[in-house]
Amino acid sequence: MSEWHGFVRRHLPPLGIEPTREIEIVDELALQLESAYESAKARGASEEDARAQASVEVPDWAALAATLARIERPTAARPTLGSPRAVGFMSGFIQDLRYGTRALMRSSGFAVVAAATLALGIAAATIVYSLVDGILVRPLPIHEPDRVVLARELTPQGVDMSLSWPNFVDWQARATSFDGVAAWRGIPSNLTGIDTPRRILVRQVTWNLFSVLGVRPLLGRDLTSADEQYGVDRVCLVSYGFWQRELGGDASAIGRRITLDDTPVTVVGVLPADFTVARQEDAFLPFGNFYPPGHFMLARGNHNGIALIARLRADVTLDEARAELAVIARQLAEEYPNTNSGQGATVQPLMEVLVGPVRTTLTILLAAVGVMLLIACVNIANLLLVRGATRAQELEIRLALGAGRWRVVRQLLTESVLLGVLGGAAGVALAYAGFDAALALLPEDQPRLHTVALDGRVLAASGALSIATGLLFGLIPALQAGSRGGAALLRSARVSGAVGARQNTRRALLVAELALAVVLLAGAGLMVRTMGNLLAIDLGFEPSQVLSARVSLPPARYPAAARLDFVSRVEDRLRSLPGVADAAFTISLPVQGSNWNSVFIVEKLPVPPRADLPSAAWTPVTPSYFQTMGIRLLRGRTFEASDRLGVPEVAVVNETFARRFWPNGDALGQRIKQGWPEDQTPWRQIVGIVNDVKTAGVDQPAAMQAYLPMAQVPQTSLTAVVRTQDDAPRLAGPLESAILEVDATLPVYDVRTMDQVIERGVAQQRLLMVLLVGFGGIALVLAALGVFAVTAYSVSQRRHELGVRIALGADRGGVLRLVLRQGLATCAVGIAIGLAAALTVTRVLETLLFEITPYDAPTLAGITAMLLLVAGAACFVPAHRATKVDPVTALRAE
Amino acid sequence: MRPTYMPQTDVSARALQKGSAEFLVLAVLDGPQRHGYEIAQLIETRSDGRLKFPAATLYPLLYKLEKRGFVEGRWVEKAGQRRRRFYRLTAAGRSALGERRKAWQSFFEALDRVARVKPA
Repeated sequence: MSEWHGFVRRHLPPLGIEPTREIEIVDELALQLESAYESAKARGASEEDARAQASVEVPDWAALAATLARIERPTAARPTLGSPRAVGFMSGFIQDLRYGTRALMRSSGFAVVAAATLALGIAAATIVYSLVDGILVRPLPIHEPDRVVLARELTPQGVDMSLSWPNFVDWQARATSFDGVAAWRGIPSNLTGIDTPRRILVRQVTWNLFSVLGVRPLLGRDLTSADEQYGVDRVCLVSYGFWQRELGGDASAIGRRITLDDTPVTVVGVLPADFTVARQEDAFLPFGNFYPPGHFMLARGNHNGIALIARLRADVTLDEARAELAVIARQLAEEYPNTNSGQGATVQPLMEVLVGPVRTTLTILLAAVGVMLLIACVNIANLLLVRGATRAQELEIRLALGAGRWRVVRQLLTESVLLGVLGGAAGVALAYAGFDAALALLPEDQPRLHTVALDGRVLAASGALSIATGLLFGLIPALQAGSRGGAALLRSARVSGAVGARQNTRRALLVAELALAVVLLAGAGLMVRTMGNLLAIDLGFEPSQVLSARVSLPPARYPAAARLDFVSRVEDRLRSLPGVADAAFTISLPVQGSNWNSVFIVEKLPVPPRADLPSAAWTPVTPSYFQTMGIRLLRGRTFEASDRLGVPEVAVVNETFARRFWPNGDALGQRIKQGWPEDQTPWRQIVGIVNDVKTAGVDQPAAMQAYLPMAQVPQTSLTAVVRTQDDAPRLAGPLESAILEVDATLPVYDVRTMDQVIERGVAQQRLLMVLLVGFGGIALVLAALGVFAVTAYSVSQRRHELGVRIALGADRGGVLRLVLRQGLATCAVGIAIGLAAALTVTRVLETLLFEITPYDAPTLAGITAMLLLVAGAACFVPAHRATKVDPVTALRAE
Repeated sequence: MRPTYMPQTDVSARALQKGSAEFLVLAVLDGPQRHGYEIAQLIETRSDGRLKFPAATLYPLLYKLEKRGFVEGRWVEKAGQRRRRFYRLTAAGRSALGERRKAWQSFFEALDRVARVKPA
């Protein structure tokens, strides 16, 4: 090659076009310059003059390069900014982008695999991040939310309990830690007077709640202390959503009357659009307006859902507030020993109360999705390395043509970021598609679920993540490819048959990938086992083919006798429906938690101190409840139609109840009395014993439970249960109609099969399991892909060596074992590191596991076996191919 | 096209060459195939050194004509010589050349009638 080649290469900036074409152009220009130089010499010019004349051929190399690049890339949009030199970096970037697009299109198989891998990762990350952002991160839509706390009482056993009204009033009056103290109480209500009666979310609040929260009505006025007087016209503030949906969304809504629980209520204000605290509350009504003095809701011993909401003074810490309320609770215990002895106080930031229970789950998911994305990155980095090897020649040419190292690195990084953005875009599309399904995995009463959205915030994060992943997985391969040493090494590696540093990088990445996959799979495995354990639990009843629905009777319109009449008429209608085996009413469904817990005393046994009084779940049911739910009678009898008002009261207790007080004797015939010793409640005779039912939750131990005949304690808050002969969900419509036929003004809500109720009871575990298994599955596939790629590449690099081995008489089985052994050895290292990491990491799952430890040997062994099996299969294909190496061909290729 | 570097000609000649560059190259290729340096030399000799096509002008022009399908280049290796790229007119190039000849002809006739110049 002439010296003019070198001259041209030194002067002509890279054109960013097909390397072979670039070589041709360099050739032609060099020839031209050489000819000019030669002819000048022939005309008798001095060496120096001849050179000068030749170099006059191209006075401006950068301009020439720009012109050539423009011509050679016909689809190119012409740069519109100034001279090519001035557009410098930008045009370089556009060039990189264009070149990157073409490079990716050339190897579309690689691009599709890589982008699909990323798309899955980004989709999962987008959804999980949207949950984390909406539930955990976004501040509450109130003034300085960090200073708002929620306080409750503690039972003598240290369990959270709502405040009684008089205790709230005393806390409010005595506490000095706060700038303002309010109270709220959730009380779903029937909205009637509209086309279809609906159950809406209502909060009874003290009039000052909104000033404590620092929220002002968008329209109308705030509540006043006058609104809270008993007997004045009832008023409410409504949410923005309610205003839009039910009141037409215009200013005339102020002053309108709506009907809540059969009572007219005047709308006096509309809250701002973003104001929702825990759930999407519809209306806020003044608490005091509901209850006349002396009402049982106002009794000091009645803890009926009230929570204290307060704003911490700027100079008071949470701990100081805790200490103060604890002191006040002790004072009250001394002043009112009958109701308050042993009771304490608990104070938490409001945000923590709302989202604390899911914080662990969501954090684990975020970490898991991060791990999965990391695996995807490692995997793509590995694919890029393998691909980098096949592109080595192209890159070598570019380097030889004078492209700087940084220029090549930048080009490759542009390609990987492009890949990242493509994957990200597909991932966001996938996230949109799967968003609703993911939300459905969370319980619908999950606080702040309504603030979860795939909005600009989340999408911006996903975009940044896509670019970051592109840089992350592109960096190592780009740096390696960009080094001349790397390219030279490749050539020598091919010649010598050495494995080379690249292969080590690939193996290291593979080890990391497998280790991360083990951690994910271990988490997934533990959650699968947990779900298995949870679902295998004997719940104490037969959940399949049972449908339930709730209905609330307005107490004013439904005195005791009317309630019983309603219940029996609905039951009759339900039983006459085709496909219904039995029907009943209860006030609490299993698994969901009891709606009525109370202390009690047992006849003939010493009455313990008040703080030590036993407590049980009290559950009024209709006689057919036990049969409908499949609860077994162990001794005695269940309820009968004759157990009604005016005859001696009876009760049926569960096994745990009977065993606790009469471990050896018979509970039948004994008498118990619900309430405090001094309460005027009747003694009830135990007539039957039934098996334990999981009442407080699937993963909670069965507690003491006493069933009462509903005819003796008529209720307004009812749940209908129906046992069907075939498809339970199909009867949802008829069930609702049967209730509406009896009273068309009653909203029917929470229509669910018992299977759905149970699923909700284990929703967090299920969410974790479904997502972790998904992530784990993807990790497994990616790991298999990684093992395959690395082994296949290693085999292709070693064709020569393997050919020699076979030529020298190595049998093909031996070659197969050699390749398999080496491949699996790498995998084993990764799995071992992963197991060690899993033992540390899975501890975070501990609180969510059920009847299994984070170190569960069978799970870890199963994961190991599965991974080894998959890795073995992934190694086998290229290993088998290695045995097919024809020694003659392999040797001739050199 | 970019301004051509031509120290020996004045601005107006340069402008004229700019408008006629494609025509000149096509005309020189009307005949046997030629390589780049030959094309540049021919134009320079035939114009008595008044028109020059340095590499920076010639190659972009050739590549552009090639892209448009007017010329066709191919590498030829002759014994004992370095390989060179030879260009020749395609059918499309030939008809484009004919059209341009006519256009220039009528342009020069008009010029002559108005400004009394005779084309060479």
